[in-house]
Amino acid sequence: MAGKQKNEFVQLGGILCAITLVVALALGAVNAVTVDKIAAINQQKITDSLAQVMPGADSEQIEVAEGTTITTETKNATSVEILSAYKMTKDGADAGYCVEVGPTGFGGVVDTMVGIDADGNVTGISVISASQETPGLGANSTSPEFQGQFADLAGMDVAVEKDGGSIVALTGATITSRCVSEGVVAAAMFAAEQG
Amino acid sequence: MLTSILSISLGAILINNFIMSQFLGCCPFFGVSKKIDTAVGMGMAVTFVMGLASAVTWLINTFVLMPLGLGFMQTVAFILVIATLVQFVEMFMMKSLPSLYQALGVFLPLITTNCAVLGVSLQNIQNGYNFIESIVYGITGGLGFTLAIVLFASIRERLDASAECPKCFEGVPLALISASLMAMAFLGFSGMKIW
Amino acid sequence: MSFGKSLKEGLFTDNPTLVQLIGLCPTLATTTSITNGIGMGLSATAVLICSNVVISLLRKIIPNKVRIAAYITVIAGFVTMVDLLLQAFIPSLSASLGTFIPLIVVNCIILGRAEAFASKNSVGKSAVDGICMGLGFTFALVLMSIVRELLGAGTIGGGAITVFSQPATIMILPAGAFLTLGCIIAVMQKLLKKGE
Repeated sequence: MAGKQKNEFVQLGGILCAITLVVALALGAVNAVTVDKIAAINQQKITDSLAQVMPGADSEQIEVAEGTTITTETKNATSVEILSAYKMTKDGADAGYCVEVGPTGFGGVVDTMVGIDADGNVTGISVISASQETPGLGANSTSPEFQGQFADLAGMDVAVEKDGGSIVALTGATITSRCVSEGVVAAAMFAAEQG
Repeated sequence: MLTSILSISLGAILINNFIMSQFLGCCPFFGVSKKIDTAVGMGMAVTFVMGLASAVTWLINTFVLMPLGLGFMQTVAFILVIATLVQFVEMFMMKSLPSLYQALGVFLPLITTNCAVLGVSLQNIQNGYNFIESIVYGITGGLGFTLAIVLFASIRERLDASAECPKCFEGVPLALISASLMAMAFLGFSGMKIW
Repeated sequence: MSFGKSLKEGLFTDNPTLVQLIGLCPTLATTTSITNGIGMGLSATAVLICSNVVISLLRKIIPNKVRIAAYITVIAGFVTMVDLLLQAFIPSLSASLGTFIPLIVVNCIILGRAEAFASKNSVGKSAVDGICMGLGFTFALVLMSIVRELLGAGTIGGGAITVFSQPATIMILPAGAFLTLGCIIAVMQKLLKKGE
């Protein structure tokens, strides 16, 4: 009886294992086809956002340790993660930095690229992904109207109107707007640290 | 550490409540919310499994999937782990804690297909939580679920007894509209933040 | 059973979302714009058809005792494939649907059809069932997203045409999702009563 039971157990386990193995192999195959494509798309997003915030400049990525955070010196004192950073040059001259920051918004991280010129002014920002923000509210932070407000401001002084700054917050999404502003300040501080 | 745990708990229970703002776990929310007793039972069972699943899936992801470069197998691995876990919990309870099994037993098989459990596992990884934070998020997410389902059940009990409404709105539609009003109440928590 | 009859059942009289009330999570969560609604509906349909076919093929091999685990593995496999393919070929849709693509695994419609239909019927019938139920689910999602996008964002067709400039934002928030679904199901109940 015990032997029979054990036998059945092995058989059941065997069939399940076989199914899992086939699924794993099939997934491995699909992954092999798509992995490069997905990496290329993600790289393209970065390249596009760099071109958007600082048109016509050349970028060179600089090393940022994983998990680097900067706490902004504003009244909200937010801790913002620095995701990646690029030293920018235009026609051979120093053009400042582009910093990809990940401030936490309403639903999650709002991945934002910020261009800071050599004088510490914002050249432009590009919200790469705000998909965890509320659709129709915070997710509107990817709109050109919202992003355009940041251009030419002094990076360290960026704030939403409620906090005494000049950024008009998105309708119904003060948190997302504030988080993007904090991200810009963090980027400016990071750029200043680099010199 | 303490502040991060506090803000995760508050977020999971009130601000980003699994049901009221993320729509995870709606099937049991509507399926087993006709009576307060069963709602409490379901809530407890879900909280228990969510906490356990958070711990186990985090360990598997960190020590098995990531080192082997099998990130794409995440969904398959997690759901198998959850299904096995639920099965083991059921067997263990039946043998060792018969009184608890009597109370929760019927709900356990249903939990495998509760998207809150898989959702919490995936979100732990996506949000980059560490081991402790994952468990806290799992348990408090479950508590948020319990809060919502118990409140909802107590509304429904009264609703079925007394509500007068157009015939076609009887039953589920009326329940959905009550849920909508509850979601509006939960909207009031949005924007709360612990610094 | 003819294709036309199954289609009518899937879309209307036995619609998985609006009549059977299963698969509510994605219905509520992803219907903030028509693009999302259609994307979610078709992704789930693709998974449903594939899993129905495979499970029907394997129905004599899979032992009864471990059938649920086996079904879930097969479904999770297809879901991950759809997820990877979307990330590679339609990245914008993949970004806006987010974690809801992996969560198709626990969509009760798919496991439900595997258990109730594909495990008992031939491959051809299961494929037809997958198509019809999938389309029914997509239909419900599209209906929801048209209402919510029009009222909540004031646009039609994923932001293509603007109708109102001052929309009722509550409709694309969670509260609006419950409200819309409640009203649609009420209309459905009314129509089905009339049909009887």
